[in-house]
Amino acid sequence: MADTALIPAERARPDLGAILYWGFVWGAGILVLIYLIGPILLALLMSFNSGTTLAFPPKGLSLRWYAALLDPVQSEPIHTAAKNSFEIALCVVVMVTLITAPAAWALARAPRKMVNAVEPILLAPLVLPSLVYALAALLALSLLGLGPSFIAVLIGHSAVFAPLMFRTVLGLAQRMNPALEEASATLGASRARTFLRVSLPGIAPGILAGAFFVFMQSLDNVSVTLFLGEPGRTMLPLRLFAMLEESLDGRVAAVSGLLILAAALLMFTLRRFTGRAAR
Amino acid sequence: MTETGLWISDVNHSYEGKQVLHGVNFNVPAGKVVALLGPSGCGKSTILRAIAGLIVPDQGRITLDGRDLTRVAVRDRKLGMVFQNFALFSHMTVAENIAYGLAGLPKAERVARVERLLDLVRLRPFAARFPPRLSGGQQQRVAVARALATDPAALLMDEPFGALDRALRSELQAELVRMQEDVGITTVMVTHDQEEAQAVAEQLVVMNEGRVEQVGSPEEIYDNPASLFVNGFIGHANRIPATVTGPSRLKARDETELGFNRALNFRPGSEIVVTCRPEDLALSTRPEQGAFAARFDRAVMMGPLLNIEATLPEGSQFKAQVPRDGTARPDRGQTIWLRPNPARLQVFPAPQA
Repeated sequence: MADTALIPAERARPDLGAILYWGFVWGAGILVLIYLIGPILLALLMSFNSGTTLAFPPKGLSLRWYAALLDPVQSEPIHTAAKNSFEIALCVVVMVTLITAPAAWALARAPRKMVNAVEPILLAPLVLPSLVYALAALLALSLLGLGPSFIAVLIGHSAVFAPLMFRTVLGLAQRMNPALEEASATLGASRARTFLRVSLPGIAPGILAGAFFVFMQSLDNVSVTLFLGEPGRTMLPLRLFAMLEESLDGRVAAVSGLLILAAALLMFTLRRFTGRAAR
Repeated sequence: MTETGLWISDVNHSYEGKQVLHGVNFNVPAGKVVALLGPSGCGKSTILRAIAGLIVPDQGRITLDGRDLTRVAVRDRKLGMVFQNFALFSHMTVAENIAYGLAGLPKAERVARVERLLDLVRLRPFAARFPPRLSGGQQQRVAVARALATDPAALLMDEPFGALDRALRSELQAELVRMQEDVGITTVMVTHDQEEAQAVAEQLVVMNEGRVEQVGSPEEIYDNPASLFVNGFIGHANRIPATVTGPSRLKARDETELGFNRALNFRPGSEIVVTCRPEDLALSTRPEQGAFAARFDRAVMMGPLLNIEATLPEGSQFKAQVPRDGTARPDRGQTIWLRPNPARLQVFPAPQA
């Protein structure tokens, strides 16, 4: 009797272990997903609120905040801030691409020792709090006689976010078969043609992915912008802060909604593009 | 009169202080296929890269049909190269890959040339495909077509079959030979596979440790190897350490005496190594004059032949290949006698320890 009782118990034990294991994996996984996606969904939901302030749960569904946001008279300051932010972000992406892509491409061909020496310096802004960098840049720029300005923000953002693109491009450049460029040369192509027709398409997915990260980070940045930006020139994140301080304006949620939509669309097209290139 | 063909003269080269090419000399007659053959690290790829212009050798001269290429930049050499893993541009179609080197031509001419090459490598239906969607054999043919598109003065190939399945290789080797005969282009191929070299090339250049060991037709190299290394690298060679005892006599370590029908170029008392191909051994189950006693290990049937493995008393392995003539096979562990054909023996000085 004792024997027969033991057998099912023994058989049940691994099942219990498996239940606990999968329970933990799924439970923790779902919790993390909720934690990551929940607030975004919440913001999206609140942006369709028909009430007069930012509140949850929404009283009813409407597009009134989007309408208010798009209204050129009522939301003129937001539009200006958004325009300023997008301008900066685009300029930063161009500048970072021009500096980083050639740097990563060249470094992928440099001796290993040199890469090991240079890489930590180039990646430093990634680990350094951007606040620290912003303050240092402000001091350094004022030494050069350059006060807070558009150029200062551009330089600041470029320095802080360049590592994002550097990483994505270097990874691809290092994995590229060196025989591809050699093949191009044996076929009579000049260095410029080899770079444009062979190397650049090879690292293009990295440039695109990096450009996406840099653009989003620049758009979103507060500390560097706050330190280096002209006081009169307001940027989107700073404007949103101010609006939240003044009143619980529903337009903030509408801005979030638009940004979420833009990011999702960008990411989707990017995945399709880089996915095809990788194959 | 200028010399035609490709001439490699006294090429030396070092990488990071280590000399990888030692006075390499050989030539490729115009329109012929030569295979550079050797174990990995023997310098065969380095010499190919020097010919292509991907490296500039420290010393030496490389000329092609009388034109000195040594200092000419890669892109001005007008050579076609097929890379080890084909190095196809995966973001371009097959046709675009082939057209890559034709940028200077007018469009109509370029299109016509690409179509002719697609026909040559029988890939016309695949013109619009991207290389990653092709099989290994098709990729290889694209690489060959791309290299030939510019109408190069010579074709260089680095392990062109290395990335392919063994089953595919012999078929593609035959294909390459046919194509080479059609085009009649001076060709240098690098390989570590002796069967591949023999199947494709009219001349072999056997290399070892940065030196050319021997240049010759596959037959010459197989029948009259210039060194112990070549002897063992091309085909199998059983090695027998021995001492010279007379003008045409020698004694092996195990006291077996061998007589030669020719004079040996060694003084009596010299330490030498005698080598013998597996197919030049006769098998007997009774003691015989001039035969080595060995322990029979195993035999593997191969078509009409029997591949025998045996061990000499001092421990070295012996391989023999004899006709499968219906006589009973020896038992494992039984003593057998292997008698070499003296006319086919090769004699080399004993390697310095």
